Amino acid sequence: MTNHDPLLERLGRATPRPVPAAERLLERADAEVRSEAAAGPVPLAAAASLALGALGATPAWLEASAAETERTAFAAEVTSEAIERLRAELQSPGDSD
Amino acid sequence: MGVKRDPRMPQPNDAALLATIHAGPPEAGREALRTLYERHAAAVHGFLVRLEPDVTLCDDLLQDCFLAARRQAGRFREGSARPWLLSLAAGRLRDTRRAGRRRRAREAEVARPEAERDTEASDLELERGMAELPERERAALHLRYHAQLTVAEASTVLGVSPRTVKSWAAAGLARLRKRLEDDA
Repeated sequence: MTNHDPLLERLGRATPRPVPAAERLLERADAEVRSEAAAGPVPLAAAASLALGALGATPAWLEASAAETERTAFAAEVTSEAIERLRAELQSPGDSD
Repeated sequence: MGVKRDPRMPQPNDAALLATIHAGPPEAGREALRTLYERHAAAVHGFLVRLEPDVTLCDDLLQDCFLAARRQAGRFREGSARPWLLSLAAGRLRDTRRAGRRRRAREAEVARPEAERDTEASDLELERGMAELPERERAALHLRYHAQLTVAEASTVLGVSPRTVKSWAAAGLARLRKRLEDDA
């Protein structure tokens, strides 16, 4: 269904101001590009951040992932300690009776 | 020297332009930025001008918005870049106002004669009617009927619910229609 409303058409066409030409924007963009090039290679942390961003990793995902890694490391540590304790108990001559 | 395009070829979509800006050769990135600007600058500039009386400030914010888009081009995924650009512009305008630069804008507006301001608009009657609307209604009308955003996209730009956007646009439209009919 087409809703033909002259007022909506006028709103669509209305230009409150002439839009500035692109040239000044492009000059500023060129200056930014030159400045970025002069700054040299991107530091490792920034490069990693860019790469993760390109992969679509959001801050929430990164936090969740870090928390998961931490939990996994903690579980591994606890398990390792428990095994050591069990091994020590099994090998202890005093407890064998 | 820029690469010559066959005018019969379809224009690249916004995602392709932003991918070129992000990772393409510098000259291609520059041309992609120009195309993106030519495609969306009128909608973004119109939005800023509807909300902010200082035209010089609006021109600066327009450029800031596209420069921010250049820096953040790698984050853009798909679809039209217009809602994203308008959100960047809205954020910059909010920041500017928060920083207290609005005072300078008002001073500039006062210093500018009314006649001079009016002669630049394409539809004076409509502009006068729009100028009398509350800011939120002006913003909703521009986003919906000039920038051609969906209600959902406009709600993201304005940071309000879709229902509120609909309500602002309906109220603005009714008020504007009445004003234009009274003048006729």
